[in-house]
Amino acid sequence: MLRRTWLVGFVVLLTLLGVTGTSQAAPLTPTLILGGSTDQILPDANASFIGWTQNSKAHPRHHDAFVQPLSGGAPTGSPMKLNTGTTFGWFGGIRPDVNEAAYQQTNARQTQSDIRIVDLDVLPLAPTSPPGLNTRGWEFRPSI
Amino acid sequence: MFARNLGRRTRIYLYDRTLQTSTALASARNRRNGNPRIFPDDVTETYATWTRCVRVCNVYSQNLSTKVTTVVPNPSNVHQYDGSVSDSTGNVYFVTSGNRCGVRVKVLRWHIGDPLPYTVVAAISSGYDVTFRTATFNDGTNDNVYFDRVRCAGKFYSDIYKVSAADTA
Repeated sequence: MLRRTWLVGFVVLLTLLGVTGTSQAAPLTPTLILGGSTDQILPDANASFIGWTQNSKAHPRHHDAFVQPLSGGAPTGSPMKLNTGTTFGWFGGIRPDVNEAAYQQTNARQTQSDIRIVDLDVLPLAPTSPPGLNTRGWEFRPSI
Repeated sequence: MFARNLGRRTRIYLYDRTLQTSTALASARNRRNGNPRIFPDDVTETYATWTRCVRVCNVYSQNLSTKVTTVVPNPSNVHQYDGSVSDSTGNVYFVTSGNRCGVRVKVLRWHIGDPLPYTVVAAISSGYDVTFRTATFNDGTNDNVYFDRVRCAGKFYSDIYKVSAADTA
């Protein structure tokens, strides 16, 4: 008991001194935005859109990049796939001030990976390759 | 911002859309299997953040105006990863955990340059971890932090969560 009291006092002292590295403010509770029995990964969002990467039950090893409009902070309407055809897509990021997104696209054999940028306000979506950015190397994980 | 895996190394670049040029921000040797030890996290008007994993993972943040790079303090030498920054508040949000998936996972907040302690924004349930990313969007009033959360068992499915007003924790 004495030992436990001493230990508790020591931990309180460490906390007060900031040695444990975290303060004791009340944590917040995360809210589920996108879920289901597939993978939803690599999110980013602004006031109007959320983007992410998802596979499917039929093809769990194939991932595509999507965006979907937000209304009141919740996804609404239909998701729009960004990568084309049989390519793989990995969502990168979305600008906070403009509806413009970046994502990674690899060919079906996954031997080439490039970065694409797309204006989400122009339909049909017309992704472009940033001039001078992509090489024969493996470009990945864009943020914008 | 993006990364390029060069085989033996991975470099993180900042791409200037006006000049159409790329500038290297950081790099690290890949693991023996070719997998990177360094990953771009987030870029804003002011900051670029990335995660570099050697013995443990650490989050780095570069002020793009001053070119000064800061490592998020890691006094306990634990894994810290998946950083994102809010230009509006100057907060960096990142994840800390133990050595295994789903062990002592928390989303933390640090105001860049401030002394410790961090603030715990959200504690993740035991057996769950952050998969790849936090992303911070300031809605004009508050920072909102999105992240992907993986279940460290079964089919390892991930879902997407949001911590609203993460700067108020």
